[in-house]
Amino acid sequence: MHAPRPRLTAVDGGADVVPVDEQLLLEVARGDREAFAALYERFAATVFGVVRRTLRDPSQSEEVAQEVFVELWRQAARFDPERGRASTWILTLAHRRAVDRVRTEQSRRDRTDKVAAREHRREHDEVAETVELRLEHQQVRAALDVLTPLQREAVELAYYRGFTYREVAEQLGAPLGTIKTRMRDGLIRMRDALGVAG
Amino acid sequence: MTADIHTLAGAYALHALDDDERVLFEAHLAECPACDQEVRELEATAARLGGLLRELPPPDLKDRVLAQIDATRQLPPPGPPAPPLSVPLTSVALPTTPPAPATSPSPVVPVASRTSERLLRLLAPAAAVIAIAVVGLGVMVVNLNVRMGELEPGISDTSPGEASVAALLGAHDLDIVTVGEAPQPSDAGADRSGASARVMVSPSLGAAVFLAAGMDPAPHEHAYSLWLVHTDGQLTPVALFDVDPDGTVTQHVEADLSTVEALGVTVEPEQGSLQPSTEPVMLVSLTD
Repeated sequence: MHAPRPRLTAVDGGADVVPVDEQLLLEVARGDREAFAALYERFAATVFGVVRRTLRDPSQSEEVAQEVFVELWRQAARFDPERGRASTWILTLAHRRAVDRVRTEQSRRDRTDKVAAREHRREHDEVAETVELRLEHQQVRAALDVLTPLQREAVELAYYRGFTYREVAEQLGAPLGTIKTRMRDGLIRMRDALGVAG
Repeated sequence: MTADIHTLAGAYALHALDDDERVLFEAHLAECPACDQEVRELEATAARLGGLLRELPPPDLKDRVLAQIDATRQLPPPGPPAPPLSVPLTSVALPTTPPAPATSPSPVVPVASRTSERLLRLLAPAAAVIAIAVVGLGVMVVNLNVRMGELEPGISDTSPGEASVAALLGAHDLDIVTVGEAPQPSDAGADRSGASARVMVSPSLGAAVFLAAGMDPAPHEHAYSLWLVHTDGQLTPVALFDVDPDGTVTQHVEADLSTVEALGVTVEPEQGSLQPSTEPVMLVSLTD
């Protein structure tokens, strides 16, 4: 974990390059439709990937991905580059929306496929097609590997399946307080492994 | 809040909190720079998990998105917040269709017959100058208290909501104020201008219940915010809520009500605001 890591990321083409996404997002905030189209191209696969993994249903995933991009347009002025990267802002928005939809669906028909939640499916991961993406995959997987099994399971069930920590606790048969702290400790370990700065 | 609330940072960054807890934690974030910083880092970490998930959407999604943004107004940058409220003084707007607040004003429907002009004037300067801490006010909305019981073992697990209604009904100084027609829980008529509200309040108990009917759901990513309007012009946010599916609202308030002269409702971003950022959609005056 202490090997020097290239400062590359999956979505912005490398931290040492002009921060394209931040620039684009600031232009979108000023109503620039072309910048928006460019940002769409850069994030369509990731946003759809996040939504699809969480929701699974393809048509709902399309609806939510559409909502995410429209929200991105609507709220672009709320993006503050001082507070974080564009990719974080966009993926946080996407995940939030996907999770909201899962919970709405869930309240309608309590999810019957809890067992399926235990599968850690990988088939939606598109094969990394660039060197940067492949490095990003390696880094994140390596960061997940530093977690304890319970930390990892708690983080993955919450992020990839949209479970609340209560649901995660239920799934894993662990006390609420334990799951809460495992989620936090797990993310902190990952943060440190990835060298993430706020 | 206990020190324990810090541990929610991870679940928050993973979007794994219930709505009530999220509201509480966000209130905490507003006053805890350490947690705010940690959340930013953990959100950035969680986003890296998302960055691995790539799947191309159907090609026509882009056209649909582009068509929709052409019809979508962008929010202004956050900045000097809360444009002064300038409601026509005897009219209070009810959102008959959920609009994007601050961009397209709702149709204005007279509703609160007991609303005084003075009150609305009061609301305006207050909104412009007063920054209100959401927590630490000695005000706690009861439906949040229920969750707090789970967050902080030790707080009683009885439902304060039910208790306060019963106590209210027996209070010697119970005052009931109704605006619009009396709330009808099943009022699903198409004419939503029939929105109404009733407030039961007992200053001696420091408790109030706000009931409304015929309200539209809060606009997308927004919530209604319930405010206490104090005689000195201060505004205290006491609850974020959405209407129930049948258009009704029930909110329990526990607070020092001795200086409260009205309850107001505004539409706010779903995480809440420290001061009203839109015109009130409802205002219930407790004084004649």
